[in-house]
Amino acid sequence: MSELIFHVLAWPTVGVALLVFGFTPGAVLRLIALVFHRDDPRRKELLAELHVVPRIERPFWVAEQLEVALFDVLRARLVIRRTEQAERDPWVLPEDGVLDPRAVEVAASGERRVRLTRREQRAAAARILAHGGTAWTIAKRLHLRYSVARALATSIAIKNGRD
Amino acid sequence: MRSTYALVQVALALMADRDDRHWGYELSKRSGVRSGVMYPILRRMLDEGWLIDGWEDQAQIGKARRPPRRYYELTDKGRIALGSLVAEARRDSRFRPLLAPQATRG
Repeated sequence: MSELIFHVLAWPTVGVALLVFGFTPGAVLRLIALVFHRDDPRRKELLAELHVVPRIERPFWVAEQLEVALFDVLRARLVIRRTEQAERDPWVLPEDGVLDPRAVEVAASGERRVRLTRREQRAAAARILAHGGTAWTIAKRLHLRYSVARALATSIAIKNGRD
Repeated sequence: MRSTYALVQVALALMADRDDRHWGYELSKRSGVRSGVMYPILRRMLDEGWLIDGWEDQAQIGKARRPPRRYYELTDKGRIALGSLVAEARRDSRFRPLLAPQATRG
């Protein structure tokens, strides 16, 4: 019996116990809290709640929070991020080598960003110019550098003058 | 809100002490609902205006060296909504096992 008590109270055992029930839950929870958005009150709430969880339960409670953070919070944040990214990315319409009037129309209106072929880009620029737009409008709506838009506008004007 | 087992459990825990402040961990213990399920329910209740939340005052914490905790309080709207939710659950056979001990407790 005394041997058992000696083993239980041995330094490595005490060290492991301190790690598992003392230091580790807090440290891991701080990392878990980072998964929550900076403005999410759950981040602060989690860290505060740990102090009222009995020490013996802490590792299990923290493990539960890890599961929630990974499978609910992180997943939701990734979905939101992916959606936002998709909204920022240019809208790619099926490319079949022919001029797509819908793509030209959408791009020229500036309604959405559309990835255009060179021919479509030129058609969209011509459309913008025909509606009284300038090189600056072309640059803005077709997401081009001003110098490129200006060159495009000049080229269209020259071609129209020739026609 | 669609009545689920977890929602009824949280509602019962909240309604057991309808005027007091509720704390996340205690509420989870009392309702028997895992925090991964309970917090989304609490968030929906906050959105519906059934609950209000706040943070503990430093005075309440006293000398304990810990950060302030978040509390949840039922609003009048929440008391009515959860009252009717629990009443509905009592009529629903799905929740009978959950509500049976409540009935015997009085």
